[in-house]
Amino acid sequence: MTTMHPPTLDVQKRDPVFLDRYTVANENLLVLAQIYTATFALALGSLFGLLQTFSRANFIVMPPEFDYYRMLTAHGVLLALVFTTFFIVGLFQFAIYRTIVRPGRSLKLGWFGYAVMLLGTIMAATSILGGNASVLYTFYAPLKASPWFYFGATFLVLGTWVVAAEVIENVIWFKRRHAAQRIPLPAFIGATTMIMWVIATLGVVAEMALLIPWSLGWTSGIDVELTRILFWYFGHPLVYFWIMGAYLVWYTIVPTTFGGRVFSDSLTRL
Amino acid sequence: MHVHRYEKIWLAFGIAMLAIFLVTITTAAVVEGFVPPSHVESIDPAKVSSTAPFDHPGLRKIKTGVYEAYYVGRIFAWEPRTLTIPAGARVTFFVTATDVVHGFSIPETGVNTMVSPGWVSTVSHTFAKAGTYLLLCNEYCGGGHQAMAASIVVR
Ligand SMILES: [Cu+2]
Repeated sequence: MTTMHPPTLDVQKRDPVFLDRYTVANENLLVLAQIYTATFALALGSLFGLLQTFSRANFIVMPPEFDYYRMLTAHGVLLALVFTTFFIVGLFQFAIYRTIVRPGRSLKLGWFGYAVMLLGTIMAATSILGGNASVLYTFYAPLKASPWFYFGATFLVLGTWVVAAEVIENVIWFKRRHAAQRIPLPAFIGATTMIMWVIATLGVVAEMALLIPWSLGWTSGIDVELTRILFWYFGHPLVYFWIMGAYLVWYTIVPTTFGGRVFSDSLTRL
Repeated sequence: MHVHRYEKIWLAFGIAMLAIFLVTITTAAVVEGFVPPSHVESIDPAKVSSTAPFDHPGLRKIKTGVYEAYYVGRIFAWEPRTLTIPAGARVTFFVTATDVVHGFSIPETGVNTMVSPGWVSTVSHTFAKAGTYLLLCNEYCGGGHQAMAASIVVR
């Protein structure tokens, strides 16, 4: 494929839709799958929040399956963890696909990552709604959830690592072919953010390595303080990923959309 | 690397803010001793009810106007359920939990600390005003969390 489109600066600037309609359509499909899943999680989590508000205000009577802490956990997990993860991952995949033009790009890794994330989300959501994981989104031990919840959270994170690998692979591909060129700014932001994401989520995976054997009954005790520290090792940086997403939009998408220019490329990279 | 003058001003502003905050926090912590109420000693959470002084939770008089109060949190109650304190007393609370993480909180007093099984949290307060104070759990601890409350009577 690359022989058809010599990797020059000129190719990067040409309309990608004209270049490879098929690849672009597939990329759009994957990005939309991420964003729609995020939006669905937002809608569902908000609905639960709204129903609880009405129920607390005595406007409606909720069936016993929709008890307060279960719904609060679903609300917190869907909004703080699931919505954020799918949206941010989808946004940075989009940044990569639109700025590293790569005709015939394989999306296998990207789709695989998405599938693992989705599987994890379904596992965790099922266990919460089944009433087996009313532990709020902070899941402080020794409050114990069903192992399905912990496995689900682990898969959600591991899926994002697959996507991170896909993002890095694309950046390496670009660098190999355009050694003299700088990585396009949005792709640069995408790659650095995904690296930071992997570093931040190491905390969750380490915590799960303690929580899973404990919830399965293989280990008897759990270090309460250590699991909480590991959670916040992830939980605190979590908010920065919305900021990184906002940076991407302010610094690159907004100037492009409104015909402006990037004020400072080097400072953005910094 | 070219950096525009506006960006330099803005960077200097950001770095100055960081420096000011760091100095303020460090001064407060080191010079004035403002630290969050925290764990000073550990305890075996399975043996709380047989470990003195938590085997008999309640108030201990140290000297006139100075008291220590020992509390145990378990789902979903604080022990003792009620505590009577003389007005004007300076009370140091020693709190531990037997099961999960709880939050030891007396609204309108500034007493607020997380309580983890295995650790003893410490926080002090002077009860100048007479009245009945609410002691509650402010860290989600399970299905009956909202019922986890006790009272402190100051007179
Ligand atoms: Cu509690």
